[in-house]
Amino acid sequence: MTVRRTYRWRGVTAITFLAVAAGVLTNQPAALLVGVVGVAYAAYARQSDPPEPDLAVERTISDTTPALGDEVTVTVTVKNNGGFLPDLRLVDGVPDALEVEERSPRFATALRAGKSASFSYTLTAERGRHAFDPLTVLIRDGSSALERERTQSIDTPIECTPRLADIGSFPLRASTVRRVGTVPTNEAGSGVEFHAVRDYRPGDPLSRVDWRRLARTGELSTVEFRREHAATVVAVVDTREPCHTRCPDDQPVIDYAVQAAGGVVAARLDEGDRAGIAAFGPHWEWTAPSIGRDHRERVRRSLALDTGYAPHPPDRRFLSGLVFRRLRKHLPANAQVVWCSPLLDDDVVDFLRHLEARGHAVTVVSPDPTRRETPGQRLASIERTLRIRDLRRAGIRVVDWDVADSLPVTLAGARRGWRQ
Amino acid sequence: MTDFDPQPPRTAGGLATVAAVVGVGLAGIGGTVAGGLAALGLPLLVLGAFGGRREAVSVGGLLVVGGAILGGVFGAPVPTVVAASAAAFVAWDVAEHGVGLGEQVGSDAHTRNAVVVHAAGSVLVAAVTTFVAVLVFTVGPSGRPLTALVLLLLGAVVIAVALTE
Repeated sequence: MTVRRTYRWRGVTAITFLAVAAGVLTNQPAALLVGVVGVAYAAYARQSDPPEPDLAVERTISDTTPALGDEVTVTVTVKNNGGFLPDLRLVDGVPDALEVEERSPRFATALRAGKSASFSYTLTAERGRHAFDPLTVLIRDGSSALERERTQSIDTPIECTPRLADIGSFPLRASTVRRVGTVPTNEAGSGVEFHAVRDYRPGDPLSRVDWRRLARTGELSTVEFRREHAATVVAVVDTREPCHTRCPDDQPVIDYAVQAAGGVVAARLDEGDRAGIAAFGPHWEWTAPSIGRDHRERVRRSLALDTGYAPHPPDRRFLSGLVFRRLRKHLPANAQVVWCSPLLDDDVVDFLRHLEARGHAVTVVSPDPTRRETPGQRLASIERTLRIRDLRRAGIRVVDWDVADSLPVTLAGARRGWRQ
Repeated sequence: MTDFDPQPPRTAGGLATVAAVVGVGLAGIGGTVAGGLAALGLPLLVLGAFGGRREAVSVGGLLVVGGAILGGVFGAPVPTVVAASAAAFVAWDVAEHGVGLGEQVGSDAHTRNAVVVHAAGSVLVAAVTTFVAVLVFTVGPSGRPLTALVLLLLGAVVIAVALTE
């Protein structure tokens, strides 16, 4: 608690002197009496200390685990257990990442002994865990000559863990992994899609013998189907410095990348694949590919709460070689990579080519944050388009996502292109 | 979304304006010159009180008090001069307090109670002082009121200086 003078009554003595001088010099009692008023105010300013406050401050939050974009009402209640406070000001420490939607997180009132007052305001929930800054309490005496200030921490974090986005399905690249699942391969085996007919070999299951052909020609032959496999997928969110920019709708592009990663993981888990996530940036995060409901929940919490996925620019240096090696070491062999990045620098192209060359089939989901208003913006946009072209030439699938559209719609369009 | 807006509360601006108008009006009784000087301060004080300009409020308040003193110099009746200066003090006090509230809690916040209680304290001081001063002047020692008052006031001023230091 600090006490300081406001010095707002500094001039009052000077005015008093002025009035007295004018009164004495001109022999006029009226002017002289103005000095009395000045003296009274000087005494008023001096009269009191700001009362030693005895306050109980409480903060209640309508919903501490809101959904994304929900309005959260914060109510601060202050109870005066001490004497009369003529001038009490409260400034609540709104979490940095949250915006005040309605009303003000600040309040001023006079509070009698034993009474309480409260004020409330609404915030819009954003992804992540948000702690409040300390609440500032300012108390002045009646004349505002002295001011006491103190801060009070009230620990009431808001935790917003959005559901993993529902993007329907997310097609993976054809692969050579050997677990039964849904990704079609070019290998023959058991499955649902017709692949080829070949000569019967001893040991083939009877259900796969082409009996009609046997009846027609007398030759034994076996039908083969296209074999399908479960894949291992890792959705990597690119969180390096250049990716911390905002889309034309003022949302951080990282939020879109995280949304895409969550959607991909959810879609692949639904298909029975093993899926994991990683943050490729100064704050490394890794959730190993796995399956199941608990794993899905773990991914959801990690994407929402872990520092690595936070939408504010990182406070650490990024050592690209080190982190890239770490990513390669963590990626299971044959794991497919879905890279969620706005593709705003050239390094990313090298990283992706490397991954592709090492046998990880890479698909890029790229939310597009570029604008086309100034020449600089147009240039950045063209550079990004060229990067996408380079990646496609290297055999990497790229989903160029204009964030004004929904991801499922963009994916459906992209898929038509891949079929041709 | 609401950005922080460091404007003083309108309540404070309104109350300060009322007090300033009263002050200027009373100073005007003391003559054209005194009234003119005080009237110069009125727009400054009002603009400062609504726009959050502390210097404007202070200069405006000073001009209104100056007008009241000038009225006294030119021989205006004692009660009007004292009341004019007291009103000027109230106007400045409320306006400056409002500017401080604007800086610390902004115009969107609920501030009415704080403004009204502060203004009430200021008005109380002004009323009591004016009443006592006028009372002392009228029923005080009628033989040599001025000399007695000078001595009385000089003592009071010395006390004031000692107190504010």
